[in-house]
Formats: sequence, C-alpha cells, structure tokens
Amino acid sequence: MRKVRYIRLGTALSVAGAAILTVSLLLLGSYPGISTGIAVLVLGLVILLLGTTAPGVSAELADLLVRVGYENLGRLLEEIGLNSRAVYLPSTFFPGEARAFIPLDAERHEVAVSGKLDDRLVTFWGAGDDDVGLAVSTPGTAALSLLQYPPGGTMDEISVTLTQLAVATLRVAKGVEVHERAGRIEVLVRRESVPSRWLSSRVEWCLGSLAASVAAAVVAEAKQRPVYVENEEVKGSQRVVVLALQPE
Amino acid sequence: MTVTDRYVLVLASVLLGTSVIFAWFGESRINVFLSVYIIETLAVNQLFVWLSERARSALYSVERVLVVCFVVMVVSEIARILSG
Repeated sequence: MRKVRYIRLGTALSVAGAAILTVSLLLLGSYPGISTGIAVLVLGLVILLLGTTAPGVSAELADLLVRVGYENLGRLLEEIGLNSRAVYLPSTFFPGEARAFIPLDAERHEVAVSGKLDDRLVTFWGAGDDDVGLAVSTPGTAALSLLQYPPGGTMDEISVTLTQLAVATLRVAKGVEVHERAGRIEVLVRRESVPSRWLSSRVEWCLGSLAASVAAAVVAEAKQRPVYVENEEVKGSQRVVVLALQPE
Repeated sequence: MTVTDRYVLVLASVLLGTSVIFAWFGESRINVFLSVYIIETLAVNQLFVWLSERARSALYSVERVLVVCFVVMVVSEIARILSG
C-alpha cells in the first residue's frame, strides 16, 4: 500500500540522513558527508509526513465499496423506473453538502427552488405532484469536499479546480480543458483512466460518467446554479462533456 | 506515476544534486547547506500546487518548520556580524 511504502521510505531516509550527518560531523569531519546527511534528512522527513496523508484504504477495498454503492443505486433507479438526467445542485440548495437531483419527470431539467431543500433521498422541490425526485450523492458532489476553497465562477477558476480534482487528486484523467460556447460549458477530458464497468448503464445515464459528474458538480458549485449533463461523447482519447446551466 | 511520486522524485533530485554540487565546489559552510536546502524545498513545494489537499496541508507544516529554521539562521548570522 502506498501509505506504508512512503512511511517506510521516509523513516529509512530520516534514520540514514541522521546517521550520515552525525558520523560526518563528529567522527569524519567531512563536509560533503554533512551536506548529504542534511539533504537526506530533509527528504526523509518530507516523505514521512507525506506518507501520513496517503489514504489508508486499500485499492481493492475502495473498488469493492464503489461497486457495491453503484450497483445498489442502479438497482434502485431501475426498480423505481427513473429515466431522467440528474440536475446537479450547489451546496447552498441543501442543508449539508451538494447533491444531484434526479427528477421524476424525465423532461424536466429546471428546478425552481426557493429556500433549501430537505436533505432526504425522496425530496419535493415544489408544490406540484410531479415536483419530486431523488436527491443523491455522486462522485462529483462528494469530490467537492476534497477542495480547500469553493471553486470560483470564472472559466479559468473552474478549469484550475477541475484539473486539481480530476488530474491530481482523483487521477481519472491526464488533462482537462473548459470552454464556454453558446451558453453551454464544454469540458474536454483528455486520456481518461476510469476502470470499465464501474457504472451501470442506468446510473451512467442519470448521473453521467465519472468525469461528467465531477465537471457538473464543480460547475454547479462555481456558478451557484443548477447544472445538468446535456450531452457527452468519447472522441478518440478524449471525452467531451456538454453542461447546460439553468437560466438565472 | 502519481503527482506525489513525481514530487518526491523532483525533491530528491534537487536536494541530492545540490549536495553533489556542494561537494564538487568544496563548500564547507553548514549554514549555506541548510539555507539552500530550505529554499529549494520551499520552491519545489510551491511548484507542486496539484498535490492533494491532505498532502498540501502536511507540506504546510513542513514549510512552517523550515521557515522557522531559516529565520533562526538569518538572525544568528546577523547577530554574529553585529557582534564583530
């Protein structure tokens, strides 16, 4: 596991650095030895601290939990018969964190919300009989908790946030580009690396792919407006995700 | 290779490469060793803005310790110069 590997390497380098420094300083009087000892000691301490921040969950367990969660959500959606695209809502719409809202009505992509919605699985957003849907947590909405600051509203800030999340933290792509075109936001995800068959077709239809989910959640939070995945397609080594924002 | 692996490799290359350069030029001032290593570590930390949030918060604590060490060295050097 990565955590154990870093901690072992950091400990070994720290001990080796301290030993080289002590021997060079007290016994040998060697300045190259002192220099190397300090360098190895600093490197070891940095790696040791980095090791303590690595996730403690094994890749196999994480994979298992993801599969179980998605399979259950897919079975639930199939049982209910929901066939709608999820509308990603910012965290200000719920008392807790951001959620994706899957409306009962498949044609509805606009959610007129006044005040906060109830943070329940089955949520009513209006007074009508059809103004109901499922408020679910998605990889994208959960990934927002990994950000130190909320994303800014400009295209550059959205691009930086998406790159930080998708490339550095989640490591699901090698690069992300964001463009605004004709009132839509187009996200190009280059060289995706997501294991196949993670999402059931029903879950992927409702929530979008993993990259689309992250992009939609970030854009919704950045713009403080509901967002849905209008279209996504794979072109060669890149995925093109088109996001539509609900009018203000 | 993850971004953390790349960070470790870059930091190791920079620090150990500098150590070789010091040995090559026969540098013998310990405060110079420490100052250069601290500045290099801070610079590499600033370059890797894409590290995960948890990794960055760990590096912030490293940076704080290194900055304190650097300030102590600078102050002691100033005191040494002023005292003649």
